[in-house]
Amino acid sequence: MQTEAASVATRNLVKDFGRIRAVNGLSFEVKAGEVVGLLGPNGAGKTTTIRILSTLLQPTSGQASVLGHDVVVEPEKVRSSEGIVFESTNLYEKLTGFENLEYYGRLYGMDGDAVRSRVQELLDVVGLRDRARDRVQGFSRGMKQRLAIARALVHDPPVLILDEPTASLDVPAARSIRDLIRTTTASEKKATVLCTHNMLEAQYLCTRVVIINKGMKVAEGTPEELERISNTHGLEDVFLQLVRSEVQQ
Amino acid sequence: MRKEALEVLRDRRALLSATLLPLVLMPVVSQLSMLGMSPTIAKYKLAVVNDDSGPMAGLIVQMFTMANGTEVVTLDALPADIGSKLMDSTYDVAMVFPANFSSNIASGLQSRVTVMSYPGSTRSLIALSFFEQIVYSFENVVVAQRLASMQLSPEFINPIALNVTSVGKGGTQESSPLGFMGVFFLVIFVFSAMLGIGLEKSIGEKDKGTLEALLASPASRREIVVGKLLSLLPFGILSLVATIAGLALGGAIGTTIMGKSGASFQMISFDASYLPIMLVVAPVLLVQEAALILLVGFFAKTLKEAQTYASIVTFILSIGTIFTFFLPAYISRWISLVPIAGNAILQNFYISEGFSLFVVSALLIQVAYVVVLLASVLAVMKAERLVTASA
Repeated sequence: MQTEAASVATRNLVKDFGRIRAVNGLSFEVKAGEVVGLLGPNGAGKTTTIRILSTLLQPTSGQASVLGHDVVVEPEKVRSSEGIVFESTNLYEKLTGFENLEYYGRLYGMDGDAVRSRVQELLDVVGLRDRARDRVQGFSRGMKQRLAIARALVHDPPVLILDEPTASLDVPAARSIRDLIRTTTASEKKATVLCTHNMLEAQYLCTRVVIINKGMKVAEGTPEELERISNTHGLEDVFLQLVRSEVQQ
Repeated sequence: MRKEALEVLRDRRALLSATLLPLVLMPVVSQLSMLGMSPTIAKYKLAVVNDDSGPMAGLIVQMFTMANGTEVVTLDALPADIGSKLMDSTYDVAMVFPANFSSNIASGLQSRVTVMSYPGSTRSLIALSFFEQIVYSFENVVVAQRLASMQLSPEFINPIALNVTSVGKGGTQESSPLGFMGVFFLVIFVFSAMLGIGLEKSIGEKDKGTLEALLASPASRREIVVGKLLSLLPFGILSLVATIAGLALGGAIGTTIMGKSGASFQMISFDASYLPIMLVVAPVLLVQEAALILLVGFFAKTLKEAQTYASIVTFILSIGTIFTFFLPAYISRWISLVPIAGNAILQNFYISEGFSLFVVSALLIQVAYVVVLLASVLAVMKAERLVTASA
């Protein structure tokens, strides 16, 4: 039986900043339609891994690839294949919602009617159609995050990378963002890397979870598998159990 | 570039400051000199004590009274607080003609006149010079009479005449004594106009997080830099035009108020003889300054750090540029090869020697700096420090 090729893959990924090793031999894969969560405490190496996959940083050693394109050798192809939501919303406040999406659409090679119709479609999906012509500086945090997700989807990338997409959102806003992510990734079979330290979010969205601590993979599996391994219930307990064990070792 | 331009056009405050600031400030700066120092707006006030027993001091006082723009106040004696009155500009100058003024002159001797002014006031110093000229013109008449009585010609006391000719192109300051300073203001105003928006487009994007998304997009670093650079240039051009218009406006206002003589009191106004070199230098200067601002912005880790670097650069540009105007020419030639500030000094060499081999070579070196600065911006853009957390 042929196994499906991974859309996103890292192999023994290492990243050093001077004497500090931020990522230490990390290996994981994400297939199309999967949502793989990178869980870890602050400083675990999640954001560094995301930045390597986004081609913002180069690995010290090891490999990272997106749809078979190496992040170092073919960074342009990698960037064209990804939609990224960073922790900050990365939107231009002086532009309208429509203009922000149109701008990014054009950056990703779309033009003319194609980009305009895609932008209208996405504004409907994220529920911002009636605010399309308003400048982003007047948007709430939740609205900005929804627009940021729309921006990541504008060029219909096969791979989504989400870095703390619901950070600093209130409960209703965070829930609406999670529902949006769930719907979009499932319906469009996108390979999604979700970076979070919100266990509820990981439990709600992830098909598989990779737990990272001090740049290294501590455990990997579905939430149920991890509960069985750690003999606990709930990802939060799983995480605390595994990370504590790691510390004790 | 369309996105960059949209952001710039929607920044009304920056647009207004780029255009209104030089347009308003330049005429004000040039008029302040006129208001402060010319006698048309406020007459020079001369306090005179005439103790002369003869007619000559009175003749000189009459000459003072008849001169345009003077107000002569005749006093019996100098007040005890004459110092204060000079310091607070009640009077600009005070003069005391002694009792033996006419008799000494008639006897072929020298007469001493006590003159008081306040060196802390430029107006007082200019008024002093003004009244001195009147006294010296009277003195010339006395000297001519003395020589005639001895059957000697004026050349007897002026044995040497200097015949001064200017070398090079022979260009002249068409209007104001400090017209060359106009190019200095161009350098500073254009830099200041682009600085705020340039830092916003570099370190500002990093602070807001939009730079990450931009760098992670398919746009290459070169495309990003070129787009940002091109979006800054209209700001610079706007400020350039506004500065030239402001300088010209200042000159026009002065001339309207004071007639042709107004030009001599315009310390700074537009000098049209610089126009050809300005048209050549302006594009180079604009791109250099825009590239430098982006370099500062992308190099800095935080906005505060960028603003500190920008302040240092502004200080070096302004003080350094002014200072070099007063250096010997052989040193200024070397400084005209320095990026940005060199463009201002180079324009003065154009005035004296046109597009000479030196001026053209220096221009080409300035163009080379554009390449160096852009390459530096690209190098900084590729550095990992751009996306890692600030210190």
